[in-house]
Amino acid sequence: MNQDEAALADWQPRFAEWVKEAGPFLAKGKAKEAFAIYPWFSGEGDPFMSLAKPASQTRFGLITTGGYSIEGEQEPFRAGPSFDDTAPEIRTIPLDVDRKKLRIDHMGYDHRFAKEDINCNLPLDRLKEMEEAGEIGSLAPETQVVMGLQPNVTPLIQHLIPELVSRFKSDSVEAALLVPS
Amino acid sequence: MSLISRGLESEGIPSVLVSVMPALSSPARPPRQLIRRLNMGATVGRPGDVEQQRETLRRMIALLEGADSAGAVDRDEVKKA
Repeated sequence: MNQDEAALADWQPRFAEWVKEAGPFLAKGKAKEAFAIYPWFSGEGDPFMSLAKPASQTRFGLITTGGYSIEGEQEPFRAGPSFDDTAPEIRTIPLDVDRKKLRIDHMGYDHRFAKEDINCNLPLDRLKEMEEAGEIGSLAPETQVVMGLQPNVTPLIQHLIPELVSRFKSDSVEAALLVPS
Repeated sequence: MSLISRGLESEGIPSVLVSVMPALSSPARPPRQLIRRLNMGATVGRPGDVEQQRETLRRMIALLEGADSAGAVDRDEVKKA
């Protein structure tokens, strides 16, 4: 079991209380006031795994919370933050995706930088170049895309993280690069 | 993202994240983070600034290679006014 799962029991009542208290703020669009009283989750211990090989021999996987999906091929992400226990969605983006077809479903950040140059927060071209130059061993062919803005960490820890681990293990990923937006 | 990082690490996959909002990423104690003074929506680097984007990725990889315990941080210097 992910060691953070053990800490959920203590956190869940505090989150339920926060949903009640923050609800009126969120309904008025006052996210700042709502998150000022958010009960930040703090797990037990500090998991740490050393890199087994130099980066030049390591297979990397990329995860982004930018909320991208492929126009015409994938459903958009559900809009807005999720407060219930629904399993968070994941989309996969192949390295050779037509950059023009990438749609951003995330409402929490300014999209104009990524519209100008997607490598601002989805650095597929940069990582491809680093692979070609031998700086990294290889890059997994699928980028895992999730949605930011997930105040309820329960489904994140119980569903999303095990699914990401399982996908990375099937792709033989040896180290992960995490890029929020 | 910090919780994803911890979850991967506890399942044997080393990880590193870049953060432009350390006040949000730090409370959950990610194993390794690169804190950059960049904008939300351009957390790897400015549009078209290939060198800056590359620098972010290289520094993330250097943290993966160099850190020997949890809580490793590489941080952009704050320029004094």
